[in-house]
Amino acid sequence: MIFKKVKALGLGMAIVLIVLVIFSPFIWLLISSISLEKDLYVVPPQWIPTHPTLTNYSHLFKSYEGDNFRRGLFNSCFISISVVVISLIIAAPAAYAFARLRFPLQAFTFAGILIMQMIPAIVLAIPIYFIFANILNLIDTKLGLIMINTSFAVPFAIWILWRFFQTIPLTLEDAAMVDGCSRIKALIKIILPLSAPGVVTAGVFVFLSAWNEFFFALILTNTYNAKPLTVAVTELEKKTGIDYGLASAAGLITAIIPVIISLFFQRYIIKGLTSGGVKG
Amino acid sequence: MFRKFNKKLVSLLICSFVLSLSFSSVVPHVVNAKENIRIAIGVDGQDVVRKYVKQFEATHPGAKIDLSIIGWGELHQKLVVSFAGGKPFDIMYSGPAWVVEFAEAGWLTPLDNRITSETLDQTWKTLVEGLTYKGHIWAQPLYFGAMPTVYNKEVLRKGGLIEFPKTWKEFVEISKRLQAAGIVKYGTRWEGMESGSGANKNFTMLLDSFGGEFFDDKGNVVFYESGGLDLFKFIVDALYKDKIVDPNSLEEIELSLVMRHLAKEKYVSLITWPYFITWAKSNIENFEDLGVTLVPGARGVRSGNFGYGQALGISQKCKNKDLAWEIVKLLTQDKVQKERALAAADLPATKALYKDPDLVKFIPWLPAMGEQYKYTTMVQLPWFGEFDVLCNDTIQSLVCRKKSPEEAAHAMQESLEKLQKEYGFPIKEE
Amino acid sequence: MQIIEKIKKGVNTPQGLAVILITPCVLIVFGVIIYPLFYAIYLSFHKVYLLLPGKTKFIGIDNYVNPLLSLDIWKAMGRTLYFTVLQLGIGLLCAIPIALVLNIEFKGCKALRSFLLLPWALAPVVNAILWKWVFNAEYGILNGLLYSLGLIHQYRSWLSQPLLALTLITLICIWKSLPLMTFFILATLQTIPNNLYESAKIDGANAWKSFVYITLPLIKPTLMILTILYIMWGFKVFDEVYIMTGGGPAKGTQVMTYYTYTETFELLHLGKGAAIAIIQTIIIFGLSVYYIRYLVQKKTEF
Repeated sequence: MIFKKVKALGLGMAIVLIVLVIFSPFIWLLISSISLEKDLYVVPPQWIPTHPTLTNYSHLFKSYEGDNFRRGLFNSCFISISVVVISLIIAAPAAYAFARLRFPLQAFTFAGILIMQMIPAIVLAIPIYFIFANILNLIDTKLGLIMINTSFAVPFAIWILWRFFQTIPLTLEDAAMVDGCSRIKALIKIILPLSAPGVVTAGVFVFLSAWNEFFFALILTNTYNAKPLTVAVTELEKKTGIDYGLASAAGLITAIIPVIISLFFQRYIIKGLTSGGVKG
Repeated sequence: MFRKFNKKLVSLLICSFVLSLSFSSVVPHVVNAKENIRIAIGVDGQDVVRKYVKQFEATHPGAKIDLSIIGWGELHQKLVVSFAGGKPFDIMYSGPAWVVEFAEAGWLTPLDNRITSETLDQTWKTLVEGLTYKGHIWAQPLYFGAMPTVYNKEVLRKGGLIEFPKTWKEFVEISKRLQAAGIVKYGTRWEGMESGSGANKNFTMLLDSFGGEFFDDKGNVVFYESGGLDLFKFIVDALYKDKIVDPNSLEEIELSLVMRHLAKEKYVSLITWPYFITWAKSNIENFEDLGVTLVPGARGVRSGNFGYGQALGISQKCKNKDLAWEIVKLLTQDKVQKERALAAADLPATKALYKDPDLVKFIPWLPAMGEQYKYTTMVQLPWFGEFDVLCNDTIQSLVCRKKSPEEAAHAMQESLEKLQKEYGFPIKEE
Repeated sequence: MQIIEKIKKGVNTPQGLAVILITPCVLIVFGVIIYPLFYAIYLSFHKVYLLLPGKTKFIGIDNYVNPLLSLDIWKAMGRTLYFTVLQLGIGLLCAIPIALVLNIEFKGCKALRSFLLLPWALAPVVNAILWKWVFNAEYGILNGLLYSLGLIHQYRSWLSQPLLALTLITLICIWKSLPLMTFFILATLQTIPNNLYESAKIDGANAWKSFVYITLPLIKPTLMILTILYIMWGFKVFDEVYIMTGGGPAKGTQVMTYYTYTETFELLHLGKGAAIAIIQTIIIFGLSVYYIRYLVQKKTEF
């Protein structure tokens, strides 16, 4: 009896520890974001803010200086959603082709495309900068960032979608076609609905990686025509230094979108993560 | 079987493909069909600049200006890369630190025929020298500054002192005394040692206050003997032996906090940027307790400092240089310089403005700045990036005690010689 | 007419169809990744003088040989190794117990699993800003916590010592990577049939023994996969280093990618930077080949 209670207690403690480790940074971020600068810069720290305020948020959303942040928010949304749409349109047919059709050099192309994920961004940084700056005139444009993010997202999406297509038995299509469906009808009526989870999973991962992207956003942009949130959040420094209350609020907003999406689509994400061989 | 599938899908794919290709190639060109004047400047005083840019566009219909505001961390690289890539900005910051680099590469238009001798006479000499290279002047002065000492008068009074020490040796002794008496926590805080912060400025300033220089007039590397070794010894001793310097100096700290500390008598003094003093005036309650004076000297030198500034240059590839010059004149005129200073951005480049009654009222230490300007130097090098990284690494390895002062000074000397040899500049007279 | 007929015929085959479906993706991958890669390789064989374009010259493999002969790149690799070993060591050590706990069906375990995703969903930049504030020397909460608990007598700076700064950056990356590690291990744990444990219990094994002799061997492949993955990703760490320390102090946190970044973007040594980046790519490629072979091998084993 006692042993069982001890085990339960142990389990409870472990759970509390896990929750603390996972959550406490977020909670501190939240507390910082609703504190005024003068309440934040005290020794020892105030665990519960004495004057909780939404000034930081209103500063980000209403003030003149917050304009950059708002534009960053718009850019992030625009870029991420575009990347999801375009990369899925490109990746889905390709994944279908790799999964279902036979053609020469199939394995080679497939492996080649997947290997592209492994290339570190830094090696491409300067070449892409020069190509964008001189030939394509895409520096400081949302389109440029969309292109870059899409090309990194496509191999990844193909990988996820390919695995999903693999799980759909060939026989389903063939049976439908024997019953008189054309291939395209079979595609729309049977494959697409079955692969919807795959499409959603791929879409979510692509969105997250586009939203959180920083390196190319930093190099390829000059103004808030194209700078996304990840860059905006680092540029909150006033001349006198960083107001950490403001930075926390901005960070929280930047984080809230991926967090909400993760919680909403958690089933898909967890399944996608645990199928192995996934980009983190 | 495949036929129906193909017709629809193929046409759809081809359409979207062609559309996207044309979209991506046409749009940028459409956007750039008009010849916009592209300006790249730093973040300070951007509101003032924006205002005058709008004003210019209003008075010059047909002229469109693209204003890029780029953070200090990326400004230099982005300028260099855009130059090297062949699509440079038309007007850009070309301060003394970069002018040699840009001019040597042939990217700037010499402004000898455009800048008036009045402007040159009325601008602080160090800045004009900094913008001159190979007999030409390459940019129109915008702002100038140095990093004076800000000290807490109350602290000195409590310590029974009338004036701020004139030499570093005195400063160390006084700090030790005040620390021991519990009046302050530390003598001062070394600034600008964090990564990516442009350590070359503080480094140059301290070296100058020690009467040292990196290169002499004949192009020899004289860092070690002219004061480099003594400086390094001083920096390390001040931190670890005399303990008058805040050990948190290596961490990036919001300078506003540091000013508050000074006002609250945590430090005796700081060496900091002029606009922080301006900021302090509006944000610190006991601002009257603070005073501004010269940086202490050593080795027989009264004081030293790093003169910094910015100027607007015009690129060689600018298609409409006359128009660009109009804009440059507009953005650097005395009125704008004054507005920038009043907006707590940088101090003007024009000497006369330092006696302007409005400015003196807003910035009472302007005369002190004028004094400090007599003891300023600038380093002109084409290999600016390497120099900055070298200064950064050297100072940090010194302060982290990875290298002893002798080792660090020797390493600095050798690195400077190596870089000089590689780039052929500064030119060594045989 | 004949050509159009031929195209129509060609397109009607699986091969033709495949070509159409794959073309956009191949184009974008080729255009945005492969072509710049070749350009980078081209750059790596030159000494690039950005400021004096005429002076750029071909220098063969010097850009590869020189860095490898100097200490900097090895130091950077050493720091990356330190980072990776620490991340894997502590990360897996924490992830395994967390996965074991989450494997138990208790009330709210599903909720806990979903909340575990949070650090993973965070942008690395935001992660870094958050922790930079936590470690702040003047007002950071770490200082506050330790001070309130009486463990330190005065606030101190955490990021101004090279080794400590590197360790702290590693810790925040560990925090962020816990979800992924845990889920990988959890997925494997869930495939272990319960009767294995039950029969072990009957045979008299206690919890520890059944962990060591049943669980551990069965999650070993997963641990191997995680190891290879995180070694590869260790070479890609950038955002956190950029925000927290900018490579300092005294180059103490200059891991591999940051070293490449410094050479390329701060010192503007484009040729040398490209060569180092290519070296980095080769290392990662080698590891990924090993990874794929391991995966294939494991698949065939089952």
